[in-house]
Amino acid sequence: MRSFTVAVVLAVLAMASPARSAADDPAARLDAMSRAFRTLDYRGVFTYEQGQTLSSHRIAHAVIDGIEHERVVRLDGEAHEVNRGGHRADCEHEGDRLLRLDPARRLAHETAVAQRAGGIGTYYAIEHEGRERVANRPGQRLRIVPRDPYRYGMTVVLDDATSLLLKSETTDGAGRVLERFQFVELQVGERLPAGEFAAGPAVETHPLRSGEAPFAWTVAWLPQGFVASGHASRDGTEGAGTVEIRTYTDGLAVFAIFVERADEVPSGAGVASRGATVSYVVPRGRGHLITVVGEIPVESAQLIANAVNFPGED
Amino acid sequence: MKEPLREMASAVVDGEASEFELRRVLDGLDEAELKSLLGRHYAVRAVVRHETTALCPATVSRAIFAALDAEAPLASTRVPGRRRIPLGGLAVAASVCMVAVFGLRALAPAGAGAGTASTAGVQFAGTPTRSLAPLGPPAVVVNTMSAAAVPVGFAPAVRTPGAPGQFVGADRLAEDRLRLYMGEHVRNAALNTNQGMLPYARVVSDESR
Repeated sequence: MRSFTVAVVLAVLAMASPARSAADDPAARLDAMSRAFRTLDYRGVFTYEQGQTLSSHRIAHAVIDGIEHERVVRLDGEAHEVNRGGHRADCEHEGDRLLRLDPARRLAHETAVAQRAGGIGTYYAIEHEGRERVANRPGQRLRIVPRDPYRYGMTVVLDDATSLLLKSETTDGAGRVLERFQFVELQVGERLPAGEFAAGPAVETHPLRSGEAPFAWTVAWLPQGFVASGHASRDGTEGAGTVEIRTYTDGLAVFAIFVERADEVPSGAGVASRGATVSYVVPRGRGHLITVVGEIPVESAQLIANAVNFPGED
Repeated sequence: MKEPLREMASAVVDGEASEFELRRVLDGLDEAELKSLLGRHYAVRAVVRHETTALCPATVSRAIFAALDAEAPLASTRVPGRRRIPLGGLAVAASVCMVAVFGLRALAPAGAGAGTASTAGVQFAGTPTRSLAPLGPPAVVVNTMSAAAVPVGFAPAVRTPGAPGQFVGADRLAEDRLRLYMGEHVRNAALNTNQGMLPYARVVSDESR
């Protein structure tokens, strides 16, 4: 009888623990969030704050016949909108892959000593930080803290009912908020007509395609965990020549390296930033200009840009 | 820690490090002493650039600069329109700020501390910064006050928007490239960051585009 009782208890625990861990695991919540914003129909108004500026925007998102449609319209200041369409809702990208944390993968990167691109849990500590109500919806607050100085942290609030991102704050290592995104109104599940997304030209959703590489360059160092997510080249605009672009992600942060040849290059490096986004330019090789753009600390951008080499020109 | 490594760390903080120096400092980041040194350098740089809202409470940094204003400069020559901060004053400023920094660090969770060093001094192009007169040849002034010994001999990279100099032109170029490449970066970010609609918020909210 006793062994039967133990067996029953073990069986109940075995059945209960996966469900409980999936609900409680903050990384699993992030994973759910990454699917929710692509697969759900929703519309709402959100604010975006960086530095001294606060702007408000209306967003509509729908999946129609398996294809994502999204429209973001700025409601104040200069009129500006982004339309995105034609992207399959079930398309998986490098960032998704890194965020996906099935038990086998988790075990693999917990036991591996130095595994490249092990998942975002390797480079960020993700923990619950209580509850917060945003846009009249109850949500779970998660704190995402980088484990090294090469990336920024985030605090996010995820909707209890849908796992949609209700609010996010990007913070630097000193805890300063660099940008803040927050819904003030959100409706989920209402069917949106295709006509809602007809206005304005849609941006191409897969703009980065593999192609020829006009410049022979290598990058000798990247912060651990960042893997290539795209490679492309295009003819320049607005005074820039041909540009080669390589993009990288660790599943949460993204940056891109732009390489171009310039007639005149500055003798030193330059920095600009807007909110959490930094742009670091530096001349490298013979007459090449390297620009690193991304939501990473300027020191990371500096290290990456200075690690770009042109072996044939040395 | 050896002196050359200290100098390399200073050069990295100043944005004047060679590739070799960057690599060397990067390789040494596992050493707690080097991490700590970089943290102090960035904290001092944040003080002199007025980027101290998180590291130093506003009242503290105001008090620091009030004390510096009251102090007589060491050198008699004064560049018109520029402000000279005596090295001794800088040491005092650094030590006062260190108290605030270490106090905050003691309160901060372990995971958050690592980023402090690298992110305290992000330079915002177009944001007016406090102008400092050139500090002259590197000199090591060790603060002997009780808070911490802070080497202040490194020269902070002085970058004053609007003043002549290569940095300004390069910063303008960085601003230009940010405007030019932001759209491309955002489209990539939207597919790869899992931050939802946040990347689009960045580009749609950008009035300079």
